[in-house]
Amino acid sequence: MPSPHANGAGGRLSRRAGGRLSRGARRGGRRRPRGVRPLRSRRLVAAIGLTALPFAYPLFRLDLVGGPLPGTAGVIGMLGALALWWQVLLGARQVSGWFSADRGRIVTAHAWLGASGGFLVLLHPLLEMVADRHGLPYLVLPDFTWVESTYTSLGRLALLLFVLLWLSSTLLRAITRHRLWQRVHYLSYPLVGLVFLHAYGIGTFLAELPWLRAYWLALAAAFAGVAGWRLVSPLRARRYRLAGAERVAGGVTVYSLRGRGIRPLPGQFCHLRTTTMERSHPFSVVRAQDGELVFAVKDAGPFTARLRALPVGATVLVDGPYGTFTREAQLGERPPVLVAGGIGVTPFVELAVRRPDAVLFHATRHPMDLTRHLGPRYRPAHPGGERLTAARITRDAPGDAAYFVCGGPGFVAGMVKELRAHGVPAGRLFSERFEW
Amino acid sequence: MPDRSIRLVVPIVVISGVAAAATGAELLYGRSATPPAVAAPAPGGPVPAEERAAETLGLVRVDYRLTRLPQHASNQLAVWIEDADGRYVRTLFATSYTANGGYVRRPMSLPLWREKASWEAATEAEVQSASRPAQESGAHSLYWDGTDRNGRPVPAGTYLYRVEGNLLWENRVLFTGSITLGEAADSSAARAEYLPEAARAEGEMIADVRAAFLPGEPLDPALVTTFTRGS
Repeated sequence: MPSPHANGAGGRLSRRAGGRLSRGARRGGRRRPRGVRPLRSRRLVAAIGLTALPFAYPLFRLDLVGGPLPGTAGVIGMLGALALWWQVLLGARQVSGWFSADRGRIVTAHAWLGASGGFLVLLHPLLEMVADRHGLPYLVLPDFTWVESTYTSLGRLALLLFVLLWLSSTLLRAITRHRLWQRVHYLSYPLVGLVFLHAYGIGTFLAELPWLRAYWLALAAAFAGVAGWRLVSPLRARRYRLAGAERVAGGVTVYSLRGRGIRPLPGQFCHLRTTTMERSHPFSVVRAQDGELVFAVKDAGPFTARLRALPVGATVLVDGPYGTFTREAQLGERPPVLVAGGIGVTPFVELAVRRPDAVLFHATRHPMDLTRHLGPRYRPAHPGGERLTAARITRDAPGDAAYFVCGGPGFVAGMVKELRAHGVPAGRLFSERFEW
Repeated sequence: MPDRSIRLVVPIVVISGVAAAATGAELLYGRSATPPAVAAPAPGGPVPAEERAAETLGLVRVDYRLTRLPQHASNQLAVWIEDADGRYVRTLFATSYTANGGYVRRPMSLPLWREKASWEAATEAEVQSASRPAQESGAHSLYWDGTDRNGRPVPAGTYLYRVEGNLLWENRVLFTGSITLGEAADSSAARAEYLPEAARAEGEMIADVRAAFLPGEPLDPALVTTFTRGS
């Protein structure tokens, strides 16, 4: 599934997040954020394991389909399909958001399932080939001459789509343009549809075990529901009105939207689109108060250009909020040290204002006008001045401080490495990046 | 998990793992699944085509009408010849899925033909001589040139032609007819038997099975279709 990415500003994926939330409780006098449920990896793994459990039974009934190899091939194929099913579920933020706003971990799980699930999806046709005594052409040659070979050929088509998807997301990702990668990612929907049809038509265990066939149909129905929900989700986006736009330094425009229904917490992001049929783009919320959402968007591409061209009063569709990046800073007792690179400052602004013990370091060519709000707690570092280094950041920080880093991929990777080298423990270091 | 692991390390591990597992499966199961050469050729090996054409009694044409059933686990078909005592002579046609090992996955596929022909032990040459793609609905004709599984001409006498088809899973239809090869022409119609009888309700996949013996008629090379391992 297309992962949220920032187009110049905002939407980000948190890398490391510790601690847990309990909704509505209070700790240390700070109100706990509601609705920001971090993804608990163990629960996700347990859920995936539970859904895979029904496919373990056929392993004890390999006689149903002709022995160990055909049976194993069938089970591996069904498990591969399940991995794809989970990928779709996790990739659709409109659905996975019901369970957790923690897009960082969800997308990580999605990517991990995709990369490693390839083992099952790729191995299945090879084992089928060996079991049915075919040669390599069996994997690719379509044959629609009769019912059974037609269903097999649907599997071949699905395999082709999967290989495209898998390679563009893994080995070829570095040379695949984001737009192409994303479009190829949309192939996952027809791919999973073909997989369900293929297995149902071929039969194997599904024909022999009615309860397993019912389970398979239930998975297929859930997939259809997810796909349908995702299709209609733009229609359910909240309609906000553009109340104002102010051009500031560094190619950044600050937008103020007015409307109702979305109450993000500091550090969270929303997906914006200007029309229903348009692809959405994630942006961090700088401030949210009394029905107003403020976004700071850096010029980067056609969408931000369309945003700039919007007249005051225009409708902007808002979907969200997502993300749990600064959750620890909102909950924890540790003084937060916020480290931003460029427009990566957006998720920190509201937080720094709210927490008087927060310090905001900002590597930028165009320092923001935050000194009047934060005073000496805002410490910009711009070319020609003192460089923003881990030594400088940790020099005056309290020993128990928690560090939050946000910015471009290079900035985040370098800063995290530097901070770790300066003794910041991993458990107190949280990072978020622009783009997956 | 860092991006590099997801984009590089895991895929390489996955590809290596898939290759290793598939190779292991091929070594463990693929080779052992290869039919042993039990069906030893007759002394002297296969007879050259020219000699065969010269010595055979004539040509037997088997006609039938096929209606493909719109369902999976169906439409498998085999046509073969037995002598008057029920001994297997040779296969004229078998849908390639079953002929090429589909019976491993679908043991209920054409069981009588497989048993009669000892197909699990068939040689590659036999598989190639009989395996053809599934046919479209309509009238079809198959030709038997009067040779046995090793290509040797059969003696004059009465032979059975049998057509077995899978209607749905284990539900089958079996047609059996007899034809006499000799100096005179002969023709006959086969009778149908549904296995089990309730299988009749699954639909009429094969009908109008009949055979005609054309004495002295050689096999026209244009009637020989090519081997397939496709469906």
